[in-house]
Amino acid sequence: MAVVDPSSRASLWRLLWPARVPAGFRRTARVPWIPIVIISAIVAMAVFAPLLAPHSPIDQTLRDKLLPPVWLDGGSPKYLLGTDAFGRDVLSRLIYGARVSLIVALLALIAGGGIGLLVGIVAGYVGGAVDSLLMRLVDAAFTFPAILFALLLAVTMGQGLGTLVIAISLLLWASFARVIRGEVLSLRQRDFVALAKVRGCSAPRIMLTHILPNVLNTFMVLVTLNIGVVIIAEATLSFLGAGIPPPTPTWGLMISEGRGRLTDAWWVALIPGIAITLMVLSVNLFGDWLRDRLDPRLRQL
Amino acid sequence: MNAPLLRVENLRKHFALTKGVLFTRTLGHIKAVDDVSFEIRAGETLGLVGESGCGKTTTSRMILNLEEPTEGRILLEGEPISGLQGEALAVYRAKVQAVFQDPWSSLNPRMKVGRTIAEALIVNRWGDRAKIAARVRELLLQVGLRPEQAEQYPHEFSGGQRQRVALAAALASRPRLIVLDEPVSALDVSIRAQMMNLLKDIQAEDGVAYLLVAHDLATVRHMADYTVVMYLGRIVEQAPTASLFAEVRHPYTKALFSAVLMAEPGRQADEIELRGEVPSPLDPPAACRFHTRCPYAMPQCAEVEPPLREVSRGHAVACHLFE
Repeated sequence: MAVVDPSSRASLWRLLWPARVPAGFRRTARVPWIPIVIISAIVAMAVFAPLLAPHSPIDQTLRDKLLPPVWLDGGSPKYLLGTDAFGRDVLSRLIYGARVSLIVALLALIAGGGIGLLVGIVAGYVGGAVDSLLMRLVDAAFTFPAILFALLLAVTMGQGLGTLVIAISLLLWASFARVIRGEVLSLRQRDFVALAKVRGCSAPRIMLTHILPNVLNTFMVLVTLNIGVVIIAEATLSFLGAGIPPPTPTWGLMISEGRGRLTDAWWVALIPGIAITLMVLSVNLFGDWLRDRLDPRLRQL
Repeated sequence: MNAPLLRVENLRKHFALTKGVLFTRTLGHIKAVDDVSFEIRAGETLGLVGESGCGKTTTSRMILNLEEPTEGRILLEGEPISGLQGEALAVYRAKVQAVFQDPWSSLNPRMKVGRTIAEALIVNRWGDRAKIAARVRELLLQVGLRPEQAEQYPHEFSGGQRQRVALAAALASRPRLIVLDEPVSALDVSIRAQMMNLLKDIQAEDGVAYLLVAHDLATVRHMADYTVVMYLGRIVEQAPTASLFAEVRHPYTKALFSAVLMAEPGRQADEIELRGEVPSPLDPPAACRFHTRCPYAMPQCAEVEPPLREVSRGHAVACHLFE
């Protein structure tokens, strides 16, 4: 390990991008600064929304409706990214919308990812009939049309955060379970698992202390790689009217509201669209980097 | 002579070879271990030798209660081990421990080595935290490591050090028997002798018995008091190590010896070079299983199975040449 002189910017850079890394590995070793900055900015936006937003995201000022962004003719410095058909500030709605997107992503990944982790570990370690049963359930989950199911849920349970999180969790858990199970199958063959049994560990104890810590890397990589999937699912469902009910701002809902006016007021739909693209692209690039750092075996995913 | 610590009686393990998932058909049985019996006395080392696939590892896994025998019994201190559950199984686990071949796979990479060593003590609720920590320090010193290394992770250790950690973990519950499955074959030749001497020292101190599974005759000669040679799931020769090395009887054992480079070239008069592959254990040769590759094979070898019979004191051979 190289000694780093804290006063030198160059050596700090060396720590992140070591000089002796073979040329072929440099691309993966490089820290994705731009995605990290974008993700941090969006997370900060979501956390500090009430402080950052110049206007209320819900209050309508019909007098100021459909104003273009500030850099276009007719734009006002009062509304930096323009206003929508009800005279609501697009920037403020974008900032508050980040909140909903991230809360949904977090809850869905905890619920769906957690279920997938549990199912994967149990199926992979216990094996036999339990494994067959759980994996057939996973296969069944894959054949399910997730969007249709979410629409059905929205109709029966009513729109809302809970419905949205349940629908997206059902979309996620199966792919988590399948990857984690594969990982556990190879871990189970390692000698330390047989030795744990010889030492007298029970099956639940082995799963908790020997299997779980060894699949956490893979789990974290799966989580980052799936943030993008969740954000798009949230936007799609909100766009289709099965997500968060209006007037609460979400990025998907904003696109849905703006799509009818793409010719005369394109900014209403395009700006949240750009936000979704940037966020998803950033988390995917970050996820790729994390995967290469922690678990290169997942490269084909 | 006192009663044996471990007794293995007519042990068999057949693995069913199946085809299909839902409507399973059995194509045949692999006789990995077929009618094996031996004894290990307290504080002694039994060497189990044979080439890959001869059933020695399966035998050791049955003794560790990781596989169920198809037939036969394993008795520890006179008590059969099949069907042990709950408290009785925990007692057995504490008495019989193991060290495996691959030091890179036998330690959990996400667990501090101190925690790995303490595992048997923790699951048996052996004592409080301070008492366990003291025992871990003592064990690290016993295997020649430093007590502060308990806080390190396995990747900070070399192969030889990892094997010492694995040994410390096996010793934690003060077992009566340790199954050593090729304990030195993954190590550099330069540190093999160290590890073997460490194992012998510990045996002298604690009086623990070893079941040494190996394919390497030098290791067995150095460590074992008694040696059992296996071929295709059967015992072909068993004898006190000194007696075996003084006079090899079975042609297969002779072949094993011929495969080893001797310190003095040309000392071996009757070298046997084996030809061909080991026959499939799915369809082993009838009668004597070695007759297809044996240079001394006689017509009766393909017809009558040679029983294991004693030819001199404690030295038993399963071969028609010694009738």
